[in-house]
Amino acid sequence: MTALLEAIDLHKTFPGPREGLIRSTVHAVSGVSLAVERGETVGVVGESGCGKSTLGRVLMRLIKPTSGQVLLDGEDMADLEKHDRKALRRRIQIVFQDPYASLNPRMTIGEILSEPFLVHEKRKRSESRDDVARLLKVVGLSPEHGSRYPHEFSGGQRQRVGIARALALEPDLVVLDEPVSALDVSIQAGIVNLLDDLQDRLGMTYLFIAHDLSVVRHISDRVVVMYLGKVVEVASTRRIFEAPGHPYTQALLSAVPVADPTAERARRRIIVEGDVPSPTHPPSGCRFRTRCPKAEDICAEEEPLLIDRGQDHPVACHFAEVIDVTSPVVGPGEGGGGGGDGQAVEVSG
Amino acid sequence: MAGGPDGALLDVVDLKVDFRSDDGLVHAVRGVDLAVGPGEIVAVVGESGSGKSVTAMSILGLLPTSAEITGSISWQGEELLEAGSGRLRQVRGGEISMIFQDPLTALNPVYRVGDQIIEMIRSHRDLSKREARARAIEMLDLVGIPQPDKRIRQYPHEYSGGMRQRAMIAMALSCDPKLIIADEPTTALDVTVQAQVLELLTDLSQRLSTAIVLITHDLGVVAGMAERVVVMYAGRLVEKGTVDEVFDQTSHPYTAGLLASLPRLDRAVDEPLVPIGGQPPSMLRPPSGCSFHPRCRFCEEVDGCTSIVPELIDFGGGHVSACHRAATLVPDGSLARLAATPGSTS
Repeated sequence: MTALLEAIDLHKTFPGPREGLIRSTVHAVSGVSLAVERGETVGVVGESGCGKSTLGRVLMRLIKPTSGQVLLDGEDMADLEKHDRKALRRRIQIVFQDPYASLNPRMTIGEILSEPFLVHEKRKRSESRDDVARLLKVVGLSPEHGSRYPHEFSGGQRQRVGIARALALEPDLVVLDEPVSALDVSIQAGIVNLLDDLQDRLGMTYLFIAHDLSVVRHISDRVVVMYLGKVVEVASTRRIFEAPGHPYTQALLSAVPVADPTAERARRRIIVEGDVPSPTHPPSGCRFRTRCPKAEDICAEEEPLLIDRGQDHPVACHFAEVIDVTSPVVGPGEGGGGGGDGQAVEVSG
Repeated sequence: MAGGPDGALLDVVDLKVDFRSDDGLVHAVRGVDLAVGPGEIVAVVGESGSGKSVTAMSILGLLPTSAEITGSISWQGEELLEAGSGRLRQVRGGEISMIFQDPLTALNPVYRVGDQIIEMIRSHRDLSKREARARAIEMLDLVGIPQPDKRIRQYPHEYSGGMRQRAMIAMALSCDPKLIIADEPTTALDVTVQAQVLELLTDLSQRLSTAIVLITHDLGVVAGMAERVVVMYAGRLVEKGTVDEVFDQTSHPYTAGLLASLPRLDRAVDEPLVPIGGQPPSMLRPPSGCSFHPRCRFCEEVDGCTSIVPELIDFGGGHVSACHRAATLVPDGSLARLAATPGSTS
């Protein structure tokens, strides 16, 4: 069976700041391949500047990739777009991060939600009234809300409107770009539950882009971890969180604070040094090597490939080795020489 | 262990802050008590609009003139609300420092980082330029900025986000303050950098015995760093105690609700999160009685939840909760069950 969405070796560069006479290049996405199956939620996590939002936009062709291919149900999206851009837009929708900026303040909620029907089905607003009422109910608002304006709603309610708009044309895939990060936690939970519930009821497929690992873990079936434009690790949510293989994923998980004072006191963190390097001049070899506690000479010379070492769990690291960072007493050095996989022993020995 | 009001560095009593607006008075803070002992780390937690930042700003006299402040803010026995602007300027930076959420807006973009720290030092200490510069380099080194003698000559835009926050911390510490107010110090940072900055703050607080008031919405950060915690909702204090008391023997429905709504790495994934229903109230017209009652699953009219403002009930050792029903809900375990809802693994 072909995947609903498949990306093959996607690259996206942007012109960067001028450096002397030459304009530099920002390498936002560098060689990303991934697949999203129908009905699943794929989480894309990474810190700011890792290219996750650019990836989301390239995948839905809001921006064109510099190179590489995106297949929707086995068909090249570039061809689909050339042939009929509107039809393509119907099939993939997006929910943006900021519910304040993504709704037109001069349109009522009803107008906003009837817009998709107007654009794609040439239905007058009066003809889509039932559908608007249905959509509002689906996302937990009431049909009377249709006559109000966005400013009359709180952040959480606006995000519900954003979700309703994305669902209007029953798309195959919804890209959710940080949909809850602008909301307070007590409101966040309601949106996460709504997304979960919609998936169960309507069989939605989501690409969930976020920096918050706890939220990603809650909603995703599989997780893609990105660092500086590259995918460093892909696995089922369970594997990623119980047995992360890439030092970056391990550090990321270990850095997430947990709301439990006893556990926090017992915890030893893997603290990675420094900040994410500039995507204008990404480090040679492995892009994480400048901050990696395991980095050796080979990491600067040779770029690690995303290799599946079994269990459907590809990791891009020369020294990939699974450790459990959720147990409280794990330090960076543990398990270093002994039980690692063949590659680690070979190089260190 | 918890420093009470006696011997407290900072003692805020019954603080109320109203803002005049076109629509009427906004009651941002409605009676908050906060005591911080020497070297102690106290967290103030709440969601947007809870009044946590306004509380912090009022301590340093940083609120606009449209704010009407009543109550008492006692700093080492001295009433700050009555202090003149000259005295406040001495306190700010010299005795109490502040770290803001966004270091890019807090640092002046057209001055070198070093010059900003030197200016701060020289406005509080009688040091020559050369001495102040040496002190600035020492501070940058202390917060882990590599090559501080070079970095001191750079501008804020040449620093990364994490480095800027470190520079802010260096500046805040440069005059040996007794207290640092950190308002969402890591919210703008990525999680790996957040871990670095929190570790740095904790470590410096211990080494220099500087007290910290940590203002945050992140319960994880609180659990990892603070000794005591104050939970705020709609401008009022709803629960206060040591971190263990507040997280493990939660005594207010709002705190329990926050804990239940949080997706957590240490809990099972399969169970749905429990959101708090409804919306945060408008501070123009806060709800009657307990401000949390419209969203509270335990609200009972007969207990006065909708009509009477709840008093603080002491559960022993300074662990207090402002809930009419806490006396029932704590013993019968309802709050503990809610707080631990999504399939607690322990």
